[in-house]
Amino acid sequence: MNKCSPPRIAEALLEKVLPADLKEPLLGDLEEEFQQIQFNQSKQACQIWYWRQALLTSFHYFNQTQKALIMFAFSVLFFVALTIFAMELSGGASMFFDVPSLILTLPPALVFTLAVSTPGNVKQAFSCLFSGHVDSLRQMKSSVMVFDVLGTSCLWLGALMTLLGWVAMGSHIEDVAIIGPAFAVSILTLLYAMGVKLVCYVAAQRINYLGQGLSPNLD
Amino acid sequence: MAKSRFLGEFEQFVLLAILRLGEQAYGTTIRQILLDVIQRDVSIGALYTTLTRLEDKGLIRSAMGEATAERGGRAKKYFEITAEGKRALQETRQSLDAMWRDVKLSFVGVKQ
Repeated sequence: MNKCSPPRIAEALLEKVLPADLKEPLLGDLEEEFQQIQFNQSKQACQIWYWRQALLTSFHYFNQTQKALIMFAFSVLFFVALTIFAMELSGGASMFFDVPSLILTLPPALVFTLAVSTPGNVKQAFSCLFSGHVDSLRQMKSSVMVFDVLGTSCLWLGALMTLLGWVAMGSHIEDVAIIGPAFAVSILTLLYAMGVKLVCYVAAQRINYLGQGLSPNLD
Repeated sequence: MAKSRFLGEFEQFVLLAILRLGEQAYGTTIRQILLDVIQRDVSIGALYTTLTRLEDKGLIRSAMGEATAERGGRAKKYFEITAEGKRALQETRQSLDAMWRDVKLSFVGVKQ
């Protein structure tokens, strides 16, 4: 009889969600039972059994091990919801969406961040934020620096692009019909930049909090 | 009066399973005995949540064992009941027995 392996995605899910001290015994128990049930069940039934165990187990441990991710995601969603609510109160959310304004701020800020750091550090900063684990003081400092550079350069880019828009408006001051929309777009750039800066500030503070109590000797 | 510690239903089942299994009490065997004896198919996550809670309460202790090929090279975590665990189990049983004394269940007129 050809034995099959447990579904890799389900295993990866458990690897992500389980507490470190339970990964080895729990995944081992599941694999042992998975091998046993293959003697009297079909391959498909075994895969379903493993997936069921993986999902139920993830449900048990998700809140325990992924609290940092849940809280950060909740705070960002709350911020987004409040912003959209404020937009709706101001006359409709659609007038606040402008893709070019976002392109003028976020991608260049990301490039600046990569220029002063490394792709590895940027990846590590997001990993610390979402996993809720900071292993060393050096990791904490480099991750905070990533969000500082990303947020601050985004804000300055927003201000710069807004001024650029005003210069363009100033040079066409005689054509009043185009000044209104052009002014709105230029201000939107600054609005997006401030939004990104705010989220980056919260992310940096979150990493600072996670790194509290780390000893410099652990670097 | 000394403070007694009563156990929940599932905690009692898990402790009894560990007692029945002796030196072979680990996740897979505990899950299996719960299924065979009381037909309760608990997820491995629910079982480990209870085992961790019992260990935190000092009612069981654990030790890592050997890694085997059928477990993908992963080690087993063996569980053993402590003296405090046995005492808690005994107290819970005595309390339940005391409550059941003189109770007569009548099923007359009850649809079964």
